[in-house]
Amino acid sequence: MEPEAKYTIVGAAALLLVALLAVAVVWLRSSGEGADAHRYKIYFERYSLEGLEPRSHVTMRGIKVGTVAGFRFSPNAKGAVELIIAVDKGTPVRKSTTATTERHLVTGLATVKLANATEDSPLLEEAPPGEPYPVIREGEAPAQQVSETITQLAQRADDTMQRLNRTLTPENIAAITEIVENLRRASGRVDALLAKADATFVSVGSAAEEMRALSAEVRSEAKTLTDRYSGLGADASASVGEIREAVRKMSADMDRIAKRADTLLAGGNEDLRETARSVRAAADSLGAAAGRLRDPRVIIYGPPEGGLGPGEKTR
Amino acid sequence: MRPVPAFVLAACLAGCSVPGPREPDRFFILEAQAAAAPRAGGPVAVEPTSSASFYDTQDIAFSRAPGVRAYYQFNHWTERPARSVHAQLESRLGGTGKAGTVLVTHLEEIYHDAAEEPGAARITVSARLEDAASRAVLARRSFTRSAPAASYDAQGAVRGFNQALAALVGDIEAWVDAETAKKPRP
Repeated sequence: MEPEAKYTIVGAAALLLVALLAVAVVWLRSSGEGADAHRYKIYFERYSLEGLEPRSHVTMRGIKVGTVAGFRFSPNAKGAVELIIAVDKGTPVRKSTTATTERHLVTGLATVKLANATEDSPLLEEAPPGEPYPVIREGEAPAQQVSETITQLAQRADDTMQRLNRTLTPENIAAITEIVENLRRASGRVDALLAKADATFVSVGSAAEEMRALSAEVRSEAKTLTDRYSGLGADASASVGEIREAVRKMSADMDRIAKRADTLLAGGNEDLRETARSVRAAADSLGAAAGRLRDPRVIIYGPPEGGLGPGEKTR
Repeated sequence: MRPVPAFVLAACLAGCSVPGPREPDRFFILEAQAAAAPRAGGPVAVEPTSSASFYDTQDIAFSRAPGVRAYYQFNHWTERPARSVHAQLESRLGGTGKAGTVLVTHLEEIYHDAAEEPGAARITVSARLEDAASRAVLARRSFTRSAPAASYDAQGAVRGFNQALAALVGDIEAWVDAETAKKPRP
């Protein structure tokens, strides 16, 4: 006698399994990562997205606050890549927030870094017309390797401003004091603030005009340093030799600036000489930063065999 | 080969290729001992010391063979030696009041001669004395000083450098005083 097939039970079990599967999917989607996330869009035009993948981390002040949901070449903005990110609820994404990418030196994996220029800015909640999500601006932060140098430059600019105070009119002192305070608060905005300082220097006289030109040159070199390294970071095919050559050029630029500062030191009054020393010190800092980055292989693997000095050893 | 053992083998190889711990970087101050007697001569304007490009760095240079130079890898100056030399000269020769002469200096060489143990610290500075008003050259001379390294390493060499610099600054001071004494007073 053949066993009686219990089709009702088999069918019910199958239906139950399907239902359980559906519930599990819904539950996972509702309670998993991204459930309460806010989505934002970023148009990246200048930054390379090499090393960025779906689910790559999004960070703010070093904390992971979300993931990359997807990206594609923008059909609207020529040459730009549209990036959709899912950011945890409660993350203070503001209208002043900017987005940059950072790449790990060794692994090459990239993350999206969000930064708020000011915490006084309102939250970014509304999507622009024609956009499904609010849009975060692409940042202009320098490459990480030289950000420290830029900060040093801001600090030295602070000293420079203080020394120049003695030769300025009260109105200019007030303007420069404001700049110095801003520099302390936001060293990342060095370029724009020093541009404001340039306008103030005009009334000081021809000697200060020369100093202004020198300061501008140092600032320009800082930007060049930043741009060149940003470019190299974006170009994965850049060989070690090319990097070394680029930094060698930067070192030569720094030497030229330092020599000009020396010329200024030979003449002028004491205040200007002190100021020139500050500018020279800034140039030296940039040159030293370039020197430290001269050969990436040494940074990673240490000095070559036979390159050690007397008494030195790799343990 | 199975994937898992292959992965383990690759991980082990990668671990072997990671560089191990290395000697920490050390930074030394180049400074001459203060002179015992106060200086008698008038103030001199001391221009910042320029430097041969190889020595215009915070890395300490050494030489194991004549005509060959290299840098210590883990031992550095706290600042470029030309700036230390200038600071020493200014503290010794500069002063308040109007200076009638200008001292222009150039750091030609500063390296640890390590051809033999423990070697010697050598410093060469060329100097030029100018009239402050007309910028006419009054005198020029090259100064070289060396001092034995205390040990065959950077730390011993730096002790030698400090001794050599003190002697060299003394030489330049004596020369400047002698030359300015020759200059006719207006």
